Amino acid sequence: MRFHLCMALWCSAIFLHAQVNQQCPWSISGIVLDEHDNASLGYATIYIGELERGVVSDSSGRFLITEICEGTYTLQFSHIGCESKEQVIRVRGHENLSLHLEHHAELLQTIELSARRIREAGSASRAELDGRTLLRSSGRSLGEILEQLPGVTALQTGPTIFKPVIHGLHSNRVLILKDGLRLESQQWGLDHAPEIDPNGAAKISVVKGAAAVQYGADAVAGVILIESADLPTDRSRNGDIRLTGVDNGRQVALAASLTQGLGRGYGLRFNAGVRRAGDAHAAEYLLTNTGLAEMSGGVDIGYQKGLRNLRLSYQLFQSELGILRSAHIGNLTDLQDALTRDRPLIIEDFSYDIQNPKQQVLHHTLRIAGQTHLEKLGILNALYAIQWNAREEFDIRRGGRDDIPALNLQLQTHTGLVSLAHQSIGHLRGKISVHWTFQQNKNEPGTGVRPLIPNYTKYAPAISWVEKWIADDLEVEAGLRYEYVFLGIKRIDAQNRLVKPEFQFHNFSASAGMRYAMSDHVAFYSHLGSTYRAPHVNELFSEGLHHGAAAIEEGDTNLVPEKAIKWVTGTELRRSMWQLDASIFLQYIGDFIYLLPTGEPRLTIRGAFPVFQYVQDDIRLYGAEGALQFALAQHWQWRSEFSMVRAKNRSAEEDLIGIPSDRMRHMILWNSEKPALDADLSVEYVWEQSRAPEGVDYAPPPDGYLLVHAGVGMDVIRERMHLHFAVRNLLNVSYREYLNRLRYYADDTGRSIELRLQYLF
Amino acid sequence: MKNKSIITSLVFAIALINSCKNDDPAPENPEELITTLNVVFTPQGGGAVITLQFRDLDGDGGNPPVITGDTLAAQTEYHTILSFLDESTIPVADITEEILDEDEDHQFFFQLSGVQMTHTYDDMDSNGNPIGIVNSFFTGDAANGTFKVILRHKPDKSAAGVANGDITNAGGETDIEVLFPVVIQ
Repeated sequence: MRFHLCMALWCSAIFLHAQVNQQCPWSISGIVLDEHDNASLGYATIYIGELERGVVSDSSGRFLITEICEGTYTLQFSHIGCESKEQVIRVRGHENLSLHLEHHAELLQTIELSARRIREAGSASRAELDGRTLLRSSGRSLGEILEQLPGVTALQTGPTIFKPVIHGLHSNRVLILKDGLRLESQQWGLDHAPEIDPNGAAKISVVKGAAAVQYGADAVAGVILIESADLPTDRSRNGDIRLTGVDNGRQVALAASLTQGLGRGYGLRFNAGVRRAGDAHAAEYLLTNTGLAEMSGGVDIGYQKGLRNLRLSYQLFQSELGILRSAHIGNLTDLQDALTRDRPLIIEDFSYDIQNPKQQVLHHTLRIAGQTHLEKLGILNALYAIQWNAREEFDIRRGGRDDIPALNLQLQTHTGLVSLAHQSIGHLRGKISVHWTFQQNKNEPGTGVRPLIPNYTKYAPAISWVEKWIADDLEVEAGLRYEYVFLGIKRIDAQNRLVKPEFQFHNFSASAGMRYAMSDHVAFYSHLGSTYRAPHVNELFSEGLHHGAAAIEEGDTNLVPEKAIKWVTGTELRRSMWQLDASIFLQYIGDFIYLLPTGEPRLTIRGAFPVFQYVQDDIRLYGAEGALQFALAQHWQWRSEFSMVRAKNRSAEEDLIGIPSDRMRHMILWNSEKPALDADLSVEYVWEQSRAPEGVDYAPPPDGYLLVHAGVGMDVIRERMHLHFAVRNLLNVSYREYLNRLRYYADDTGRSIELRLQYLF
Repeated sequence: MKNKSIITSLVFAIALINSCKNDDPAPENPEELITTLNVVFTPQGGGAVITLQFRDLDGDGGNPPVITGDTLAAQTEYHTILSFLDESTIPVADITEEILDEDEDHQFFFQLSGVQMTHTYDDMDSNGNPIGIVNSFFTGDAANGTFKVILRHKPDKSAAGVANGDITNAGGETDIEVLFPVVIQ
């Protein structure tokens, strides 16, 4: 790998040299004509995707694009009332072209509609991470990357484990989908990070509405969508190499992908990544045993012809994560001792070693997906996938048992999905889907510890139907979904008897939404979604001591599904000098499942432990978030973001535990086109969570904190090689985040200097 | 070609589903369970042997543990030995051995409240540091109070005061913490 990287660097140095002398001297000129009568088409749009720029033809249909380098480009050209077209051209000098478009004035309305990209259901409340942010987040985990979106925070366990939190909710209430497939893993665990490598994703977005109709019943808070790029159909080749180095934890990450078109519609992609870090550093001390070792890789093979395609893919994700050594406690006295210390008890010299307590996770995904066009019906999609998730957690144990996992779970999931996007009926477009999930969870015997959750088999077929009415300035959507859940449990009870209780749940979801564009500058959206979430096995059957939390957790088999209604409404204002995105949400959850202290501690040989029981109560949440961006001067931009969430239990009017505190971020950006260089300085302020319930938590919420981040990015070779240098927590502030589960034991991560080098080919 | 691959994958899927074995879980034997702690006080000058006992036969949860205190004689030198059992298995497992096998990683601490006793460790690990399985206690005057036994796993035995039985700087994590009612008369 090192050799290839050196080669890449060496080659890029040559490219750089060539580029400087060249100055892109060529041009593309031509005329746009109607295919039928060769009449010139004035005011047609000609756009070069690769360069992200374009022109509009003059009244006689002529156009000129200058400053073009030698190379191959895809021209997209369109004209009102015509279906847009693409043409690949090779530029070796000044090129002159005649572009033909099929012009049907009488079909104006219909064609306009089909040319428009149809947003998916619930998309009104969708926030997306742009390519620049993704590129500059290489070497970070998914949860850490998503934190950059307003309204999304992370539930942390130390510096490496991040779970996404949407509008204050997480775990079983957030769905993660990669290319339409739901991630099936042990997501109930508060310290179980999603088993997805975000590096190389073409797009990452978050739907913050109750988008359960489209994506699945558990999407009470929202959905995280990760999409990979399409495979080529021609013989093109491209790829990227991303190298990241971070001084904090002495982290090194390398990710690479190679996409090769095989011609005749066949395409292939390989991707691989490794990430290794040692003990992270808080502002004043090392966080002993917080290293990580991660590996991911996969292969995609696809075939595409017109509207038909077939894609086979295999992905592997493997990680080993150390948990802060000082967070391993035996009982409540140890926890209280830890709380009185201002620094963790065990601070050792820096090491890459990952000792107990630690987690080892392995996730395989094998999938096949196809699409075909059915005459007069629409587009038929089918997906089948197998996911196999193995999770081992190692504790500090007596009698040489350190190498025996204290938790050893294997989860196998089969997912099937068939959907038909029917042909548009007037202004109406829609999709009917049938989903099918079969899941088996198994505790591997031999741990010497009673299992935290039992073995189970889950069978969940579902059907959903979404319709969308689209006019010029208005989109209205509505959808319904029904899911049946069968849960067959096999567990050993306290008297060592095998019991096999069975559960059945019916989950109903419905949604309705609209988006209205008053003008090109002003748009409003509003989305109302309702869903049921069946209790998860951990909520029904959890039993025993949760070591990290020094608490005994008990499930309740009488739990009923949660019923959630969420309303998200917002506005998008776009002006030449500024833009504003703001939204509010309101959510009511009936029979919300949460842990409540029973107040009666349980006596064990390790001392007394507080007992928490899963109970249900109605809750309500509301919140707001916004982002304002404006141009200060040429090259200078300002961006401000703010988010807040409030949550109260309805019967007792008490605040909910573990809700993210208010936060804001201000950023000043400077950028220049030539040379491609930009710099940013941002200030992030997180308030103290003053709305935490009394007497439930072990320690009061930590103080608010202010962090300063800075970064400089530049294209070493235009569009090809990019260098990014950033410093996070520039002032090396000691702080503790309320949503970090290790805040009882240690400070959060200190100053972190990051260097990224990316090469695209 | 495409239909064929779809059929192949479906066959593959069905085969996989059928391969999911219908096996029932077996009870997991909690190997690190300590159900019973005995603290046996033998008077040096002869007399009645006194035993403090913690017993929780079904482990954590289920039935609550039974804690038995006792009465010690005032101004008496006791030879005190701790023993640990897992009585949930047959035969009964002796956990004391397991602790002694990792003696560098374990140390006992004793905390008194309301009663007076002077304590000396009478055993040593391979590094010459105390363990606390074998001890001497010299009881003070007649009083009522409590006697707490704490076992720390992976303590820092070289930290200040730890070798003398002061838990303050010991660190590690607590494996045992039991409070016995005691009377000295």
